[in-house]
Amino acid sequence: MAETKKRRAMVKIKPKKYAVGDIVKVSFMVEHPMDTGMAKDKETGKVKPAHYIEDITFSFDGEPFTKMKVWESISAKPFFAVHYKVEKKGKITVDYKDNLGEEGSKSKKVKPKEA
Amino acid sequence: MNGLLLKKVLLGFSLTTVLLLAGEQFSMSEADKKMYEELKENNPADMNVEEGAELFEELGDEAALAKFLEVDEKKLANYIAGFPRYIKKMGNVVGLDQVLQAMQVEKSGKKDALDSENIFSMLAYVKSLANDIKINIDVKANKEMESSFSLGKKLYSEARGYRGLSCNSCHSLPGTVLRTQILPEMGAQNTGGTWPAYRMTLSKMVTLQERSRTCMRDAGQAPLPLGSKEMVALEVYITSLAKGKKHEIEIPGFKR
Repeated sequence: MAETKKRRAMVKIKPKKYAVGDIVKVSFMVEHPMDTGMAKDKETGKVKPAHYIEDITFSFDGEPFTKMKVWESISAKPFFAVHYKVEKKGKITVDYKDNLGEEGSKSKKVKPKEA
Repeated sequence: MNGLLLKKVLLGFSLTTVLLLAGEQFSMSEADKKMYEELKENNPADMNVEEGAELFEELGDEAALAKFLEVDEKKLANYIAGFPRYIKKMGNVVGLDQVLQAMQVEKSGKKDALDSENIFSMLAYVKSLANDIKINIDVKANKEMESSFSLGKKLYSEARGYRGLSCNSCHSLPGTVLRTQILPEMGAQNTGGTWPAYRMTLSKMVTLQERSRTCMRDAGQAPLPLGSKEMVALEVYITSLAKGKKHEIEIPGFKR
């Protein structure tokens, strides 16, 4: 069983103010080490086992709109951004799952400006 | 013989040119600076701000802070832009981090250390509430603020430590270069309004007070403790330098 550690993460919507019909940039970042399994630990001298995110899902109110398959070549504290067309009020959730079975999610409310 | 002499002269000349040109080189090229601007878009310290928002919600959100500071919730952002302030309840000129600590004590009797990540994150979130507002610190608001400001000004130019350096030794003239880095101009570059910031050299977010401590350590001075009277005074002085300039508060910052 993989250890479940609460990681810092963020979901950001840019620009800050938007209306229904606007295309916004939804970005996601998580404090994940993204170990490739090839680097040594500086203190112990042992090779650190691979530990990286495999799946990322962006969903709106539980309905996925973007799925990503990623692997170890991505840097630590990975950053992902997608474009999204705002249709209504709701909540964007980003879920991730790594190769050791660790899961996490982060969400952000979508609040379009009243026309 | 003459040829050798000429060679020597030429070598000497070319060496001086190389050295002169080397003086023009900084650790950051123009292309690097452009990359920095792009990186600001995905500042990792945003994660700390998000975490800070969650922690602050547990503490009671803006309403609790406004109640603690005895200000109208609508004017809270403007009030935050004027920190460090003299808070009568706490009997001292304090930074926002100490206010948050006092709120923790009031709520549960327990508190996080001033150098803990929880306080750093919360401080970043609370200060980010004042984003897009100009710094409005009033150093003449009362006699406590006045004395804190003058203490900060004194500390800024007082030589300490075995190297006999003061802050002013390096951070005085614009464009001073230290180890190939151009030092920031405290006022014009909005130092008070861009910390807490993510530091790429440390891969983490630190506050202005913590950054000053690192600077003191490098300069051979004993670092002042976080939240001490002297440290807050220094923050008051540095923040006041950015007052009246064109920049607005922009939290979290993004630094070397």
